[in-house]
Amino acid sequence: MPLSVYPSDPLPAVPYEWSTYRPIASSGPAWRPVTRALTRFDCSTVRLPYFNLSWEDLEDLLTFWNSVGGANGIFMFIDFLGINDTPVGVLWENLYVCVGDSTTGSDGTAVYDLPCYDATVDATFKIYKNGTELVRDEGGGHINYTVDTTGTNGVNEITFNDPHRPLTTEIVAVTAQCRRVMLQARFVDQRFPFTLREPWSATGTLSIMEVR
Amino acid sequence: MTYITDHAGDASLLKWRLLHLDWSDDDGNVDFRFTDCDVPLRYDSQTWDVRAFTVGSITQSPTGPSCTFSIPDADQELFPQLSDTNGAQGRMVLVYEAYFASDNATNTPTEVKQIYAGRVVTTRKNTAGGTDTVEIQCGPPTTTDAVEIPPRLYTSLVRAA
Repeated sequence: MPLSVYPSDPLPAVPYEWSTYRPIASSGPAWRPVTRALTRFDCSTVRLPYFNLSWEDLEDLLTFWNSVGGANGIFMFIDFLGINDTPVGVLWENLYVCVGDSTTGSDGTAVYDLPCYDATVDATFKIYKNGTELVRDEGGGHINYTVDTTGTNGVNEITFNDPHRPLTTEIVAVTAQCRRVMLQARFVDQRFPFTLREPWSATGTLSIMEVR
Repeated sequence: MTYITDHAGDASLLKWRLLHLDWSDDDGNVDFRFTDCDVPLRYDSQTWDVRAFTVGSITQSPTGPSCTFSIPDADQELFPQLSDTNGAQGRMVLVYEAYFASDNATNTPTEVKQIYAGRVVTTRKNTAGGTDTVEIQCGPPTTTDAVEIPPRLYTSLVRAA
């Protein structure tokens, strides 16, 4: 089932605070910490500032907030950074796509959602399998993968052609000029950050974090 | 030398845990394989799904180590299995540490070490205060029957007056 998608209207004020983190588990004293990683790839958080919201804008946000059950729900978030640039978005490097679901590798095509929206598919666009780039066009009519601008779930979608279907032992990552998509995200706060009764607030900040 | 012994003194290791709930049987109950990594890992020809479990302290007793696990179960995946298996009592639980060399870009560990094996003693569903977890308390890997001390060794003598 496709996830809900965070509303693109009203627009937050861009650029805004975007940060990345990698959770760890740690032990030992401060002068000799011993740590282990809990993620292989970056997770992101954003703080979306809204100004001059009309009552209708606020209702749109509240409707979405309620539709996912507040901080309980998981939804898809498409980043707004670089939304007014050409090409749209910014260059994102080494974003996690998937782990393959095939043990054989040569059983036809395979389709995955990319964490990208409006990606520019040119020389800067790179797909990696276990850190090694998979060339798109090998020449001689061998196209190893194709990228759809609007896939089934409303984001860029990659189709691996036979025999390049990723294996269960392969991690797929992407580098692309695009609007970054959090394929799964949630609200951080359990409280809707705007005042709804008079005087209702036209200004506020919604915090969203990536989950996996 | 192995990767683990080579890098035992490193301040930070790329290391995730693998938790195998070996609960499959003829009645349709299934195994669970979880990792606390954010990417599904591949080991032993199996895929280990992402599930942020935590491992409590491992304590040692004369019959073997005991351990407590806490597994998020807000989606009620584990609980039906527990209901069907009398709380999974006596079933095996195994924990591994999966080490990744810093240049290992795959989801297949460079080396894996088993750090615990035991049997389920009790399970508990904890829904208190914003948590929704299954807590599993495990004992030594042997069954209690196998280590039962003959009664004559611990019954006290009743002295005649």
